Amino acid sequence: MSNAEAPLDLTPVAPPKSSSRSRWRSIGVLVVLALAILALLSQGLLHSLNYFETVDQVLAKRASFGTETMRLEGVVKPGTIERTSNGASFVLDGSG
Amino acid sequence: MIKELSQRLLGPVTIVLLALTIWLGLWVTPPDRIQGNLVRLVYVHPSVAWVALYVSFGTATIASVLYLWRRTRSMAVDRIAHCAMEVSVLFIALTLITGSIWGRPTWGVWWAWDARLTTTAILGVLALGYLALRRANDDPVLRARRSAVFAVLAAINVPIIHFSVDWWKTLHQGATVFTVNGKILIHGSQLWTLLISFVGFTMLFFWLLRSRYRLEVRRELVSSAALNEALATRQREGATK
Repeated sequence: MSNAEAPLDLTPVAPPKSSSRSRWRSIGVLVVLALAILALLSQGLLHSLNYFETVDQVLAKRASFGTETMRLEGVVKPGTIERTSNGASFVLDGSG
Repeated sequence: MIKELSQRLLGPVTIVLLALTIWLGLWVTPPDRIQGNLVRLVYVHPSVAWVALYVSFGTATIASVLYLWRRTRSMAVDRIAHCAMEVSVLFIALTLITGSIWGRPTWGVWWAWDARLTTTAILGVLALGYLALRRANDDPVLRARRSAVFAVLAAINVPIIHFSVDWWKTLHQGATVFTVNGKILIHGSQLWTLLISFVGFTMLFFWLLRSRYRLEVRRELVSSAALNEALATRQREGATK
């Protein structure tokens, strides 16, 4: 009997392991992604979610601010900038 | 016939609109009162950001939803989602680069970790993650399903980016055209040029998407033909033994 006449072997075979391999690769991608996003969030939103304070906010919390460094939003009033030994002093208008 | 005509005209019309944007943006529109000629970046940066966030990522998300819905599920929509996300990566990168170029002289920094910039960078990471997820899965159906679910979840970031300038106090300015109260904050020739640039870059996206889609179809045909050839060779080998 030639190969062309031999009956077909239809015995079920075990499926290849490709689906579990791809599942682990997918999990790996998601883990790396999550770490990257957490890194971006920790750099960005935890420190700069509100990028600046307004003049009114700072005035309201003046007693507790002390010598803390801050980012302040406002418009410098013309003619008020004075150079000092350690920087400059100026008047900031926060009325918008 | 209309479909063929529109496909043939897509490229030339895109080129004309972008050329018009460049001409108007560089030579016709006036410089800004405060920013001077730096303001001419407004004809590039918001447009590529619009395409990155809403048009390309939106196309990928809608195609992913269509794939997940049984009635519209097909490998064609999966292909559209994949190609749109690839183009989205390009436009997200352009958004961050043009924004950085604009930020250096205006803010004094190339980058700031404010809400708008950080969430846009996250969107770029998500788009790359989508492409990596597709490479991690060999089975076409599994690949399509997993990446579709991922795209739909990743799209949650888009409204966060849009409203970040309203929800938080950000270094990035607020909306100029799509403002919360509907008031448009740019006028005259600058507004017209901005709108032309929006249309031009949108058409550029569809031109790139169409080109990438056709390339993907050809790639699948080639790999399918190669697979059929390999199977036929194997069968011939089996028959001669």
